[in-house]
Amino acid sequence: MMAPERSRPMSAKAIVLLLLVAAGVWSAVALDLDPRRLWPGREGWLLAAGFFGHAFRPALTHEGVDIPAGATPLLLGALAAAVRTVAFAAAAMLPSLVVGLLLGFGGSTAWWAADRDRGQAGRVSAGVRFRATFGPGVSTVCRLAAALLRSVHELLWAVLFLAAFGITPLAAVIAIALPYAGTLAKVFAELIDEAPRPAAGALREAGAGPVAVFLFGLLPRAMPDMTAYAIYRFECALRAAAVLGFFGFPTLGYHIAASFENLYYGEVWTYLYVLVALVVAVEWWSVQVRRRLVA
Amino acid sequence: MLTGAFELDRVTVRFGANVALDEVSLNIEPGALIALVGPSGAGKTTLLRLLNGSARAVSGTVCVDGRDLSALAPADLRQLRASIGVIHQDLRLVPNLRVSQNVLAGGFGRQNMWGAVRAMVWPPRRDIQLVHALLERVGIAEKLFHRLDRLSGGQQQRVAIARALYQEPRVLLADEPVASVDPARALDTVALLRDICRERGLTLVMSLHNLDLAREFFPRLVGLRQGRVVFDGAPADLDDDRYRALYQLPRAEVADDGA
Repeated sequence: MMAPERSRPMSAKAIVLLLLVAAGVWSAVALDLDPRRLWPGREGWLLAAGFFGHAFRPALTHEGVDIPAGATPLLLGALAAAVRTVAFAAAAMLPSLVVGLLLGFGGSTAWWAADRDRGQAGRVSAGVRFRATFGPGVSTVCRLAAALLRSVHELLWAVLFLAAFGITPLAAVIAIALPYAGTLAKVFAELIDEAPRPAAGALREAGAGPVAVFLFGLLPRAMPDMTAYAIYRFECALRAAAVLGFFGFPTLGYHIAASFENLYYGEVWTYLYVLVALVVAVEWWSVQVRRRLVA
Repeated sequence: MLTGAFELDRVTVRFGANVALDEVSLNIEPGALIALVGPSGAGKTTLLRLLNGSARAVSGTVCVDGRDLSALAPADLRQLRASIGVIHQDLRLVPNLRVSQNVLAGGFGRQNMWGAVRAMVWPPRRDIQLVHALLERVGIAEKLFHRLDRLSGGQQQRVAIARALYQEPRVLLADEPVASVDPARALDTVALLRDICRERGLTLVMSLHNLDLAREFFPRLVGLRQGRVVFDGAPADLDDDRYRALYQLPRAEVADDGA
């Protein structure tokens, strides 16, 4: 008979949880966070009332007094800004998808893990030996590269590229594409590795080559999730493109910043609603695609 | 081309300290129809994996058409595997590809990378006709372009059979193909596999839990127990004593050993 396990005063999980809470409390104290300061003064209340009051009456035409004769109507301008925001996001997604797929495939273990299993009969081919030997190293390098890409936020990249290239669309597109490539690579690698492998094993067993096994035995199982995630990243890219407008790129953010500075809150809300509409549209698209791919 | 003759000579397979097969010797002539029977954990699956080179013997030899499997060059092993179809209990198909694509994937073993891509993306009409003929043989021709996960479990099993046949194999190995289907369908499937192998002259080795099915459809039974062959013969020769030797519970065995 085994002796009953001695009861410990606290499990490892509880200790970790306690440490996390302690770290949170300590950080709040160290940063001198005081919720009472969230209570605005009289001016703060007025500003808040003015701003949120406009949420129910967004501007349909330009606010302000002297509007130049040839100015683009507000709604048309908002629509054009929305289109440019989508263009920036799409232009950034294209290279980041290509790089993300390459680094994601490279970073997954699926393309070499089976080759390290030496349980089979027969001699080992050069390709199998190569993948079994260098696969882990290549994966590590790919994951490291992906981590480096995403360790710098798109806003920081934008500051850098603005200094280097000035306000050109290319600067914004590269600034978004770099960290997004890293994030896509990380998630793609994980989705590929989590995909069920029995079908891939069966094809390998029937003599299929490694590329065919990967492309048609394994990848289809990961594809629905990879597609859904790519669309979600596109949604994030839309927001990022909008925010980069604050630097002067002609996306929605540019107009939001300009209207906010002029205290034209109605216009700010108009642009915000256009941005929300974009995000909702992408979400709707994502649902449609997922419905087609899964089930 | 492979004839489908296997020769196992005192083959032992071990996984760590666990002996899966213990000095098994077995001859399988081309076109043989064999049911592997015996209790769970007797080594039936390992024996099947041995036949297509998926498992490696620690001692003894496995010969296919007189060639030692362990000495095969990689390209030869791949060719051998391409001509051995395997049907698993869990099917191992790709649910979100079409039925036609799942079957066409059976041809990867004799195609290079580009051939495989072509078969998946833009298959030649001739290949689709071949797939259609196979699906017709297994009874689900109308499902050719359906997505696999729209099919019932029984229909998906037919797809797995069609994929194995699309390999143009000389040997079919089936690992408990009917363990998870209802009795009527199990009977159908075993009969179908046996008939297909008989009409095409393929060697068939099938592991079966259900001894009644094995007796009814196979001229030769190989009984495994604890990694050893304890019976090899016609169903009629499996009398009560031999049945007990094959299936009796370990507790009874301990008592026998003590006697």
